[in-house]
Amino acid sequence: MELETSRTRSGADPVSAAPFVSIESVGFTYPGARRPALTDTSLGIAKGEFACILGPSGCGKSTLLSILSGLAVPDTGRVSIDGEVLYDQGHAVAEHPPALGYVFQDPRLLPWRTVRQNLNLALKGAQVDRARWDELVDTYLGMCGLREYADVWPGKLSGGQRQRVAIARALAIEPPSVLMDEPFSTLDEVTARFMRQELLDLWEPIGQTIVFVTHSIREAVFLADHVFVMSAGPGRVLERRAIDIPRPRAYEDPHLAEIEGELVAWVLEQWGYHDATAGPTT
Amino acid sequence: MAVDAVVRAEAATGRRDPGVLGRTRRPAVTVVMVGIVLILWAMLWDRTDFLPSPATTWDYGIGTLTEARTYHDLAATTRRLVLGLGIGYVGAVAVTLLMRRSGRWKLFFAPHVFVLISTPGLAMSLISLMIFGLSEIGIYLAVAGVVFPFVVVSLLEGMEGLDANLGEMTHVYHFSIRDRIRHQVVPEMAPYMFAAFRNVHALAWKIVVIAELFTQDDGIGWQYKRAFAFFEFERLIVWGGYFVGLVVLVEYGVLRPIERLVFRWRDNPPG
Repeated sequence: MELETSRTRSGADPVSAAPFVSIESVGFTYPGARRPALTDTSLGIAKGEFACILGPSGCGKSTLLSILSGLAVPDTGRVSIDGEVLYDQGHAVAEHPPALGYVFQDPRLLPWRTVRQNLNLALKGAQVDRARWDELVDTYLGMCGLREYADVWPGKLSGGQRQRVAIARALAIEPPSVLMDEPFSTLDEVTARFMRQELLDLWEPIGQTIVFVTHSIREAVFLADHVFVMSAGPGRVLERRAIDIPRPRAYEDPHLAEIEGELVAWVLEQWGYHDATAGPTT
Repeated sequence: MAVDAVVRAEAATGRRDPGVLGRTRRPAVTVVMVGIVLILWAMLWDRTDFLPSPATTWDYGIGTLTEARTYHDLAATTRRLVLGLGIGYVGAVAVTLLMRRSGRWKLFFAPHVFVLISTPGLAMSLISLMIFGLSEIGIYLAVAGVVFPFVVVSLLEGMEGLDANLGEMTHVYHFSIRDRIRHQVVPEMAPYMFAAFRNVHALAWKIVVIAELFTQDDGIGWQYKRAFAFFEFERLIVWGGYFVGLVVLVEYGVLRPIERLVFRWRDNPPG
C-alpha cells in the first residue's frame, strides 16, 4: 500500500516501511444510513508515530477509530495492526484482536469502582499478569500525577482528573497503539492545553503509536508527527501532512502558527469553505 | 456533548441529601401520627363493641413476647417471605438479562410476563396453594409468581436506559461477559433493582400472610385466622403490629444498609 504523499517543509519522502497501523480502501456505512461514513479510505501510520486525524464533523474520523477498536466492522477494505489483519472485505479475521488503549471524549470510568479498580479491569481484559497490576497502576497513575487518588471514587475527581485517569488506563495496558477520540474537546481551554502537554510528556518516553482524532487544526499541529486530513463526509483521506517541528514544542510557537495558517487555508478550500482570509484558530 | 457516566449515574435516582432537618422530619411526622391514633383509640374504644382497650392490648402484646410460639410464627413467615421473594426476584433478574440479550428470549418470555402481571395476586396464590396443598412450596411459588412479572417490567425499563457509552468502553477493553455483567450491568441496574424490590417487598409480605391464612398452621397468617375465628381483636392488632414491624425492619435494618454500601461511591448515598 502506498501512503498518501505530502508536502513537507523539508521535502522528506513518505515512510517506506510497512505501516504499523494500516487502513486500506476501507468503506463503511452505518446501518440505516443513507450515505456511507467512509469511502475508499486509506492511511498508514508508522510505529511510534503520533498521528492526528483531522476532519470536519461527520467526516468519519471517529468511525475510523471505531473500526480500529473493534466497535465497527468495515464493509470493505483491509485493516491491520502490527502486521496482524483485523478485517478483510467485511469479515473479522483476527481471533484475538490486540488490546488497544482507547480514550473517549468523555472518561467513561465505572463510577462505582475506584480508580485502581477501573485500571485493574482494563488490565484484566488485556490479559496482563495479575502480579503486575499494582506496579502498572501505580506507575501510570504516577505519571499522570494521580497516584494518591488510586483508591478514590471517580465521582470525587474533577473532569480533567477523570480524563487523566482514562489516559492512564489506556497507557497502563501497554498496548501497541492508543486511540484517542477528541479526548480534550469537553474540557475548558486552559485544562485542555495542560492536558495536551501532559499527553506529550507521557508519550515521549514510552513512544507508543498514537492515533488521535481532532477537529482542531492547532491541536493537530501541536501534537502530531503527521496529520491525516480527511474530506467532508463521506470521508476519505485527502492528504498526509508531516509536521517537521522538533520536540518539545511550544503551543505559542510562531512556526507552529505558520503551519497552522497554511493548513487552515488549504482545508478551508478542501472542505468547501472559501474564506481565504481566515487566520489561525486558538 | 457526551455526558460523564458519573453525572448520569448520580442523577439516576434523583436523590438529594435532605439534611438533618429533612432526615428527622419524616420520623417525627410518623411519631405524631401514631400518637394521634393512640389518643383517639384511648378516647373512643369503649364507645364501640369491638375495640379492645389499649391497656389490655398492650398486656397481650407484652405477653406474646415471652412465648416461644411468637418467635416460631415470626420465623415461619419470614422464612417463607425470604424464599418466595428470593426465587421470584432472582428468576426475574435472570429472565430480564436473557430478554435483553436476545430478541428470541424476549419473544418467548414477554407473553408469560404479560399473563402473570395481569393475573390477580390472590388468584395466583390460590392456584399455587391448590396445586401444592399444605406444602410450603405453594407459598414460595405464590410469592414468586406474583413478584416476578413486576420485577421484570421494572428491570426492563431500567435496562432501556443503560449507558451505551459504558458498553462501548467495556467492549473496547475486552471485558469478559461475566465482568460486563458484574462490573457494568448490575451496578448500573442497581437503582432500578432497589426500586423494583421496594415495589414488590410489601406485596410479597401480604401474599405470604394470605397464603398462610389458607393453608398453614403457623405464621402471622395463621395468627390472623385464629384472631378472626375467636374474634380476638387484641391478637389482630398485636400481630398486625408485628407484621408492620417486620416490613420496617427489612426496610431499615436490611435494605437501607445494603443500599448505603452499594451506593457508597456517590456523593449523597441514600438513607
